[in-house]
Amino acid sequence: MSYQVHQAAQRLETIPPHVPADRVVELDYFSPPGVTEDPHLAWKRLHDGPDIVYTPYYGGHWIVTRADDMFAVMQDYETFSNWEFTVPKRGPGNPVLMPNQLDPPRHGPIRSVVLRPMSPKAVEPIEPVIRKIMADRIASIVPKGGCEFVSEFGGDIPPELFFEHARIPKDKLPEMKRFADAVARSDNEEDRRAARIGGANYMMAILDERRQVEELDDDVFSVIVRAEREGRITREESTSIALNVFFGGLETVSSALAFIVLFLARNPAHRRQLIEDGSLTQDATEEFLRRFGILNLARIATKPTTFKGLTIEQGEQVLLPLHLAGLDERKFPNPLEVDFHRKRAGHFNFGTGPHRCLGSNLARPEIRIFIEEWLRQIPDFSVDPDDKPVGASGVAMTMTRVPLVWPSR
Amino acid sequence: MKVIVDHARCQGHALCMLKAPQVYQLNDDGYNSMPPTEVPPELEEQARLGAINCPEGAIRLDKRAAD
Repeated sequence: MSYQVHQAAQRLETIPPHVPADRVVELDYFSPPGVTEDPHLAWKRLHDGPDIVYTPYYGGHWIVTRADDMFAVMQDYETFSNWEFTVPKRGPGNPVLMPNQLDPPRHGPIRSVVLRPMSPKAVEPIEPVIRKIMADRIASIVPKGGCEFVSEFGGDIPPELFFEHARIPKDKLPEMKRFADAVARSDNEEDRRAARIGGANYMMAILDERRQVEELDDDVFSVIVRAEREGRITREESTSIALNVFFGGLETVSSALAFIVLFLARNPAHRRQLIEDGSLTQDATEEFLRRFGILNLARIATKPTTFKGLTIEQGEQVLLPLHLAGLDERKFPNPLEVDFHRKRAGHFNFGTGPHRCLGSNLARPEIRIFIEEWLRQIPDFSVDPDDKPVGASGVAMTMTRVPLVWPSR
Repeated sequence: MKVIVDHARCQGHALCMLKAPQVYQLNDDGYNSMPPTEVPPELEEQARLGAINCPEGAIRLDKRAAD
């Protein structure tokens, strides 16, 4: 497959004739109006319009806004391929991410390589390590009486935890984090491509080190190298898998922590609930995941198709703002309200269908333990009244700034 | 009551296990591969909670078994 690649926010001059005029919106998904104040509310405005809309930005793409429709697109992998899973199209010259970019039937055997090290059972034993890292890092900022959460805390922890889980030497951390930042946040496709290539080179170096080990362990990189030795995957596929696993869990978890800590800073009653009933944090984690979804993923049509009465041409991209699925009132009553006692909280902010996020099993305990440890050490805190939080959109929705203060001891 | 999991539909969301750990378990790969299982009355509410929270709709509750 080859598709034309569009640069940055390149805007179509003319709307294609198969797109009905009443479906056209002027939306650059990196900067919906109001995003700096509140990324989720900025996007939520799309729910006031039609279910499916079309924006001329990034060469033109569809946006599916309702939970059930996103679900249908993600399940129909034959029509909507994952080969181009972010807008704009990556095109040639990029390292391939596996299993993410593959579709069934090639997808399954590749995904099966990393299922086990990313399963809930495999992650459980490292929970104490996650807790220790979280607790130590929080303890180090407590005496300051405040922090800018994103730069001083939230951004560093998830990569560090992933490196711990994957047993990668920590000295590689800063550079990899820089690549991950660029891939998730830059709206310049050239920068993103350079970061992907840089990341791939680093992964190859890490894999090469692991290839020297005779007795392989059960961590994710060892499992990849073992599959390679058994002839199940090629060296190129090893790199693709390693890159995919690594990029998947960095910005996403950092962003989730930033949204959650900001919500808790503004809502003392919710803090109190969590402090008084420790058994609530698991359900709270799921509720936060629903309320503060992160990703704007995409699919690409493999053939001309009709979807809910609209014609989608081959090669057109469909953006799936997964965070909007959790905010769809057709699925969740009072979706903007954070209610830890929601009975039906079965969100799919980790996606659905064959590509459902494998790293979710690591993300969940990271978030839960973060909430527990933060509230244990900093039960009372608020947004710095002299400063302002700043939100942003992109492949990953995020807060770029969350200034917090608390009573110093 | 019996819980019946459609293994082909399970995508490993893990929400059944998180909501009802005494009813649902995941295998080493992170998927629910449990056979049709009879649920004791005291766990029926949990079983239901796990089922309605499955994003794939992969869990069916068969009440006839209890009749």
